[in-house]
Amino acid sequence: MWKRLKLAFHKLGSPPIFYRFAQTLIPWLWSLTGVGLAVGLYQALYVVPPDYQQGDSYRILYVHVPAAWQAMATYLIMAILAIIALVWRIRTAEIMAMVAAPIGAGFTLICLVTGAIWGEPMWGTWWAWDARLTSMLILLFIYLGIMGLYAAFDDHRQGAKMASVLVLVGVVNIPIIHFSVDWWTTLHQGSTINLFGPSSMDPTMLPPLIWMTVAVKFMFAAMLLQRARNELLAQDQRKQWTKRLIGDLIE
Amino acid sequence: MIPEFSYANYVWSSYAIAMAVVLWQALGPMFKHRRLLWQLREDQLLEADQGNTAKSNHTREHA
Amino acid sequence: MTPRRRKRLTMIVVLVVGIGTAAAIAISALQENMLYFIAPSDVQAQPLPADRNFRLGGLVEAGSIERDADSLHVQFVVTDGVHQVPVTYAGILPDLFREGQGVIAQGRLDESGVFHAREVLARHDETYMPPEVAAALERSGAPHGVVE
Repeated sequence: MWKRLKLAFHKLGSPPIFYRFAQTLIPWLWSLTGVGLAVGLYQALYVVPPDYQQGDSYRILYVHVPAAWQAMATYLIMAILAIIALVWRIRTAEIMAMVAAPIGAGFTLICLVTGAIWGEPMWGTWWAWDARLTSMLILLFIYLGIMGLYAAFDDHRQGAKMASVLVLVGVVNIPIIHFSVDWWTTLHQGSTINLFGPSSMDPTMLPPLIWMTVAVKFMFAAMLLQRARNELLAQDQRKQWTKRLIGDLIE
Repeated sequence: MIPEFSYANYVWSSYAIAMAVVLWQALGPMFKHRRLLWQLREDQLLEADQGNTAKSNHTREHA
Repeated sequence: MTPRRRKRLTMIVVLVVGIGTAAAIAISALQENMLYFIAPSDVQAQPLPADRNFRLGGLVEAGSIERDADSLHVQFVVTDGVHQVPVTYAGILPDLFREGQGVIAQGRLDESGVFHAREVLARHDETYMPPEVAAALERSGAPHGVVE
């Protein structure tokens, strides 16, 4: 079992195998995303009742919370890929770590913007410099910094190495985001959903959140493979495997 | 059809913005992939063409 | 694992632990500054200079809201369950401003201990439930926020 897994891992390290693997997986991932979003959005907009305090404005959380979770999960995945890239120098891991940054930045942006739109009527302000909001904004800047550093090098592998170190430096921000609402007083409220222990959301309101969260996971996987596939193709355009691939396409 | 919400503007605008970012993130790479394949195909055809002409010149010289 | 990879992995662990320690030290040094608001008990324990601006946070005490009939003036009491601070404010209040709900007021304390707010923000709690559930809880006498 372990050997097989190791073999699969090594196989995915090979660009042509990875490219074909991504090619077959991407349509499936998008289909699953579509199903999840359809069910999740329907429930979020038509099925669940309004909140006793916030009325219908709380429906924003079905976008805001999955985006926030994915913004942080993306960072952790990127950090694991960065470790693989730095220790084992596997090129596909490097590329995936690097292309994860713009995707994470996108989810962070969604989180910040929807949060602002929610805050405006509920809190009475669209922005506050409290620890939660500020650390989330810093996450966006870290993502942009990683993208910029990677782009600044002509040598992709050198750029990926430097940017991977920055990824690992930025990891410290993730627990800060998560615990900011416990460590300090913030305008942002505490966690509603707790994996360990009771959640303070009525069970009738939970299903769309689960659907949307799962859909966003598939969406992330599809986006990651899409971008990684592009990056491989662009970097390897002079290599034999791309020539063969294009040759097949011409015929 | 469209549900009547309190804070409707806020709800719809946040969903719309999220959808716009997602579409941008999904479609951008899709188009880029197409462009890349097309461009690589052009390069390869051009190269093959040049290779052929070079080869034919070569044979002509020998003839 | 080859010795070279082991060395790289060790360097990564050292880097992450180092950054983590540095961050922990910086955060604990900045603890005070990273509080977005302070509670009435803190105000009581450590009186701030009268002209200093700060944010006061707590719950709006039930039955304490007094609205002026023909202006936007409003008075209420912010409590953390132990101490109370009376607050005056003139302006539009956020939609979630209610008795028993969280509130954050920015302003200053005068000599008589009244807080003059320039800005009032509502703080919503992490509890979400349909109105019917809230009504049922109210009837059974359970406080909001205890949904298990």
